[in-house]
Amino acid sequence: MRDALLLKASLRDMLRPRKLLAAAILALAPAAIALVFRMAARSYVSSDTYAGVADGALFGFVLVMAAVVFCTATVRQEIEQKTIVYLLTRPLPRWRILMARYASALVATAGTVAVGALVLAVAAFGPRAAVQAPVLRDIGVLLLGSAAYGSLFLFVATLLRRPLIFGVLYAFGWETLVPQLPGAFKALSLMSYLRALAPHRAPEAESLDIRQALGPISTFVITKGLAWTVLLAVAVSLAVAAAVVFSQREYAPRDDD
Amino acid sequence: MIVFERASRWYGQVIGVNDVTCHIGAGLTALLGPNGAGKSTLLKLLTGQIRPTAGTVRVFGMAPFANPAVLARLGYCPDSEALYDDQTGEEFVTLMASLSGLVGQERSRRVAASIERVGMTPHSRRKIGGYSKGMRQRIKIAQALVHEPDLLVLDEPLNGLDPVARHEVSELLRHLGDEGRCVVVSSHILHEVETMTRNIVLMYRGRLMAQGDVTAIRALIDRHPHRIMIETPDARRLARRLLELPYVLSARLDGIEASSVEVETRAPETFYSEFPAIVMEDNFRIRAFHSPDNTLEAVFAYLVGA
Repeated sequence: MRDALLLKASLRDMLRPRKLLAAAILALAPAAIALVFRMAARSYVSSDTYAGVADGALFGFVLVMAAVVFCTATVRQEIEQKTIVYLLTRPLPRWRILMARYASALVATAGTVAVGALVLAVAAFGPRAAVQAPVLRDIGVLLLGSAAYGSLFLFVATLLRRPLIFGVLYAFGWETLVPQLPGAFKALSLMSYLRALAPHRAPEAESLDIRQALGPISTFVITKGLAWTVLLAVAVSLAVAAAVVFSQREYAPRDDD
Repeated sequence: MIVFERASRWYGQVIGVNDVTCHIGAGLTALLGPNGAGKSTLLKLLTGQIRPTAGTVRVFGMAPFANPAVLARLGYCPDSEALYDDQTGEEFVTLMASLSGLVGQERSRRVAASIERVGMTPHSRRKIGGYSKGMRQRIKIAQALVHEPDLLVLDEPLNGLDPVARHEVSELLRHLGDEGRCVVVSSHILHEVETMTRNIVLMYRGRLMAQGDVTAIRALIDRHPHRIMIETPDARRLARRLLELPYVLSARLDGIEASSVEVETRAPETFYSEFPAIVMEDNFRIRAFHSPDNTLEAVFAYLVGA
């Protein structure tokens, strides 16, 4: 009962107009890009457009940013607005407070990416052909990705004062650079596992990618089984770690008393 | 009910509370000290928001940090004005009641009663974002009261309240103390807490300076002369007149062309009550009137011999 009420209040907090606007912009951005392609391309191939935008914009940007924005807010927003004191002085185990807030952040993140995928499909394929197997698969993988990234940023939020900065650096630095590195480095990127579950066929390139020209540098392959295992393990273990940290650390803002 | 045993709390190199030992029982106790004395740190320790760096803190015989068994019996009203601005007062108090384990009709009854108790019933359906400072203060007190805790901790609860509301809240807190609850109130204004309780804990620079009846503390304070600065074009004539008063120790002018008088007295309250009549009788023109010793900081500086 207490958890449900806290979840409801947290969800309401997550869906404030300003955040809702940010979520709407994030969700609609891939569709906008697809529409631009549709209008500008000489020979438009809907599946190529969907694949390219889903891979680059939806998975590579919207998913990570939505997780950063919503999941770091679970703790930091309460600390910054100094309302955390009301939650931490109530007779509720701290891990339950955190999990209730995290659940609301997950709903917001998953909602943003799911809507983003559907609107992108409508923009790429048209409203009648939008519900296709790759779209449904992508939504499933995006939900799993929301949980994995969500737990990562939740954990970071329980540890750092400025988790948003970490999140942005992670999204645009680590997740962009690491999958491109040779060898087994891609095993350190969550995006590599998501792409293994939801591979998007790249459009035929006019020139050959240098990595293809050089041939396979690494024999390390992420199988679907490994991807599921790693993403689920990350989602669960980091959520548990965040709960443990949140139960032990002090979050009372220091003030001049 | 509350026991601090050699409790210290450091924030890196800065000390918040230094080697405090004290016991606080039932009734209303005022935690008094100037800004930066360590009052809020002490309250955070006893409400389980932070842990002591050294020593122990016990509330109801248990360590309070993140302890639901302690928090179930504790109500806390923080100093910060921060609230959930997009909720109504009633929604906020209801959420806090729910988090304290209240459900159904009992919850509704207690929410209504606590809101009524702080005089917020007419405004409880309005968004907190539109509340005045005093209304925010009242709704914060309501959420602290809603689960009828055995221990009520309020950090500067009279801040932002108008005189009528101050009186009402003071009466409410005194009443809660009289009911046998343990009520701990922090303040940096001596006369404000004197109207509520005789039982005072004095803090200064993180240390506990004194604990006990306010009369004894008043006597300590009254041993030191109290300075009052009066700005007037009639400085010489006023100084002469004030020196005739038996409780005025000295009257010092600020130069040959004096425009102000600094008076020292051991009976400030008598001085303040009689001064307006003197001004009216002898037709003095007063431009400004203040006391550098009216702040608690100055009082504590005297007490520590600074």
